[in-house]
Order: sequence, then structure tokens, then C-alpha cells
Amino acid sequence: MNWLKSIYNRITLELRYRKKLRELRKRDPFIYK
Amino acid sequence: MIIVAAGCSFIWGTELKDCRHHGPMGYSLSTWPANLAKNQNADYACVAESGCGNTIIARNIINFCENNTDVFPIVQWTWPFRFDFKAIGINATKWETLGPWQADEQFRPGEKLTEEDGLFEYARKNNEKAKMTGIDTLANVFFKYVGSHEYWPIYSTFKEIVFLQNYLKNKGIPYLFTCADATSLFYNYTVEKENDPFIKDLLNQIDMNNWVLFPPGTRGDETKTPRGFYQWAVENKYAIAPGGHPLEQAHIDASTMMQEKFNELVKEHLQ
Repeated sequence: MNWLKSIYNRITLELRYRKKLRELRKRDPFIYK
Repeated sequence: MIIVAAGCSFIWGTELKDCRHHGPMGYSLSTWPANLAKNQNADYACVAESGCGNTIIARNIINFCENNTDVFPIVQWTWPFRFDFKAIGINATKWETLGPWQADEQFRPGEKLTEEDGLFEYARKNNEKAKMTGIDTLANVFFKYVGSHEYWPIYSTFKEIVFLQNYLKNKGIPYLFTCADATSLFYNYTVEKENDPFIKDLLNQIDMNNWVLFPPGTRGDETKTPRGFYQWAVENKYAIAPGGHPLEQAHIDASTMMQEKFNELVKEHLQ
């Protein structure tokens, strides 16, 4: 069951990260560099 | 007196008519700090860098002050979630910045800009460079585990602010600080501000007497706390270039708003 928990945690972290990244890019919309 | 301005692209004057390029001396003379210098009949220098983080801003001012006398620094701090590193193997002589846009592996400049926009080619080259040098991979890992959490961006930015402020005070150099986005810097974080004593201590060490923030908004969905230059310009619907930078009129009005505090600080220094 540990492997299942590990996959679940990784997916949750990835989704949370993607959402946060979208928020940050909205606040700082400057793409260059 | 030399007025030296530091910040990110807003202070470089990216997308303003007289901004020639992003190399040495390519900066604009129509930004709000340049306008203040003009009004003061003072010399003007700009050590801003487009897209940089707050570490580069602090370092550039210190570097300038170490090599010049009779200096008045004007600093517009940028977003706390841009991180500057001297990354091994990427470029031995230049600092690199990791931001939320480099962390996106899927990003292509064409999604946001069209080829006709002045910044497209610049963004495309930088995007290509990020992929070639591995900056995008580093940014992705860094943002996943550190940069996208609210603690590290705020902690490291407050450290840079206190670091530069104390350097300037120790040297008896007058200065004026503001920021691009006050919400990200002072008002948007939650847990740490309330519970972390070290963040609180750092915040208390920042001397707000040398700061000017733009007034809070009053209409509908405007920011109800003091604002930074970018927030203030966008919410007041100043003309904005395709790449997102407020144009000349915003800088003219910003310099008018800054004038009084600037005069006060200059007078204080001369006494």
C-alpha cells in the first residue's frame, strides 16, 4: 500500500505546484530572461 | 549628485520609446527615476536589469556605490519569487534568474506574444537559452520544492532589503525605496507573517521612512492596500505596451507622486 500512497502524494504535490505556478505567472506576467 | 536607479524592466524602461536595447547604456531616460533626476538637474545612471530578481538589484546598487561618490540610489524592488544565482557551468560571468516562467517546461513565447511584438525575439532567445543551459530544469525543480512556497521568496527578499538598507545607512548614503508589487511583498502572505518570528523581525527592521508606496485603490476590485508601481499603473488603466510594461505617461505621473518624498530625502541629506 505504501507505493500507492507514494504515487498519490506525488500527484498531489505536482497538481498543487502547477496551480501555484499559474498563480505566480499571473502576478508576474513578464516572460523574458 | 548622481541618481542611480535599480530594479527590473520597469526601471530599465523596457518597451518605452527611447529604450534602445538591453545591453550597456541601452536604458531609457523616460522612467520615473530618470524624470526625478531631470527635475533635480542631477546626473543619472541605471543599473536595472530586465527580468532580474532582488539579489541582483541589491548587488548592482552596492557595486555602483563602491565605485562612485555622491550617489543617491532609487530602488524599485521586484517580485519576491524571482531568484538570482551564479549557476556553475551556465555562465561564469553573469548571474542567472529563475522565475515562474522559466519553471514552465511547456512555455513557448508565441503563446503570449505575437512575432510583431517588440519583445518576442528577446523572449524567444531567452527561452531557447534557458533550455540549452538547463536553467529551465533547475527552475522547475527549484520552484517545485522551494520557490512556489511563500516562505523562501519573502524571507530572501526581506534579507536583501535589510542588507542593502543597512549597507546604505552605514555608508551614510541617502536612498529611496519602492516596489513593483506591494501585495506580493507585504500583504499577500499569510502563515509565516503571523507565526514566524524571524520573518516578523526582518520586516520590523525595514525602515519604512525611506519608502514610498503608491496609494491604495478606491474603486471596485482595485487593491485596497498600498500598491507598487506596476499595480498602480495597471489598476489606473495607464497605457500598457504589448509585453505588459506601463508606458511613458505612467512614469511621468509616478515621478510627480515621488517628487515630494524625494525632495525631502535630498534636503535631509544636504543638511
